[in-house]
Amino acid sequence: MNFKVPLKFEVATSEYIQIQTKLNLIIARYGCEIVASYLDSIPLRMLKRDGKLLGAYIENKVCEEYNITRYDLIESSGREKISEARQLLCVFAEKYLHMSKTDVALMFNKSRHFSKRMIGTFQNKLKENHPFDKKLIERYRRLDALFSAYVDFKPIVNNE
Amino acid sequence: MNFFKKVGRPTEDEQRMIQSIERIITNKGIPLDEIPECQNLEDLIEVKTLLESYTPPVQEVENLPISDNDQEESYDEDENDHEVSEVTDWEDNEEQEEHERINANESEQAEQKNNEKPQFIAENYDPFADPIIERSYNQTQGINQEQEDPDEEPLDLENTNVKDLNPATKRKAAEQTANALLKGYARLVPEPFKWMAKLPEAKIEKMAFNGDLDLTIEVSEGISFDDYMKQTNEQIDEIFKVEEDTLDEIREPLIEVLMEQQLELTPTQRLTMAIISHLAQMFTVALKLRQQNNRILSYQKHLTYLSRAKSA
Repeated sequence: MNFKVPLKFEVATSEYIQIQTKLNLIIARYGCEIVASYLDSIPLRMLKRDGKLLGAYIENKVCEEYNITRYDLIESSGREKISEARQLLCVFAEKYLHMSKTDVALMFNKSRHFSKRMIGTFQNKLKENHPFDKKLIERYRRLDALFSAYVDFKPIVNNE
Repeated sequence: MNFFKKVGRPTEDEQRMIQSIERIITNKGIPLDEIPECQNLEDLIEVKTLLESYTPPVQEVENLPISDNDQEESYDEDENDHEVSEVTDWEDNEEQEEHERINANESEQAEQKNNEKPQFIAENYDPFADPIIERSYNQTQGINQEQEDPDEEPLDLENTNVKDLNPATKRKAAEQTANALLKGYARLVPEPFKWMAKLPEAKIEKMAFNGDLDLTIEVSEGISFDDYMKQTNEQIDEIFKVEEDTLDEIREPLIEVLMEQQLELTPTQRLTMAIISHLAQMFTVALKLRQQNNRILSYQKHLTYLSRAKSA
């Protein structure tokens, strides 16, 4: 994964030790592989747009729509709803967060062909608008409306 | 925010949607009275989708000056005709004048309706985006009906044969998954039951070899214990074999459950399952053969030892 790491950063020792201990405990509980997969999904969650945590919002709403957890997204499962949730997450990550296909695929610990296939397949479905995919497209439109409203939202500030 | 009628405070998502809708209303100049009432987030999302596909009527009016003039001219001609008739018939019958006035009012109302119609049939108008379709307008105006007819065809397609593909495809996937599961079931499930019910041949042979048991003693008439043991084990193999009829009985409810739970396996998962099932079967057979070989080997070893002892 490509990161732009700052040359200098400050962190309190106590805070760092706390986080490191917590990480070690989680690794002991769940194993390295799952924790590594989960860490790969952090860049999406931390991505901001206009100062808002849009990445986390997108991930939460997709999981809420399909009634699954964030862990289900990275789990090795081919169930229909999890697969669809991954597909929508790829589409929205590219559309609203402007992530590259490689970065999107890294979230799921896969190669860029994964996200390319996911996004391409969905765009074909959207274009075709077949009754077979009606439910998926309705979900996409619903989430799309929510995300666009989230991006355009400007809180009303009282100048008084 | 007059269109949002929810009792209590709106949620954060609802507030965002309201602001987004208000922005669209301001940009497109849509009167607030025309916005349908919303009660929850779902309604707001629907209204937003509708408003996004809405086109302002100002452009449409500009595109239709000729038709308006035509209508005005025809209306003028009608008025002239009425005036002529009034001149000729005024002195004869006053009731006819009243009747004509009523007709004139009706024609004015009809004209107003005709002026409103073009707002709904702009070039960008998408009938699928707007659920409120005024059929009465389309029926009264024959020219515009021809433009809308081709757009209505997909609606018919949607409601007929294409929609049927969905459950059929789902059922096919569920059937394939059920077949894969039942194959694994028929191969693997009887094994523990067989293991529990069978007479342990290895153990009995060992006991006979050590002299603890005599296999030649008859259990019943003409059947030695050795024969009895072999026959019983063969019968157990037959009893615990999963019949095709049993699988057929399970198949149908299993398919229904799979369709209900949407647990259809992908082709990759079915392939993996078939391979694992085959490997498990081979592993079981290999394990049995290995045990048999080890047993024979140990007997041979013991016999060799005994023969050496005798010769010595």
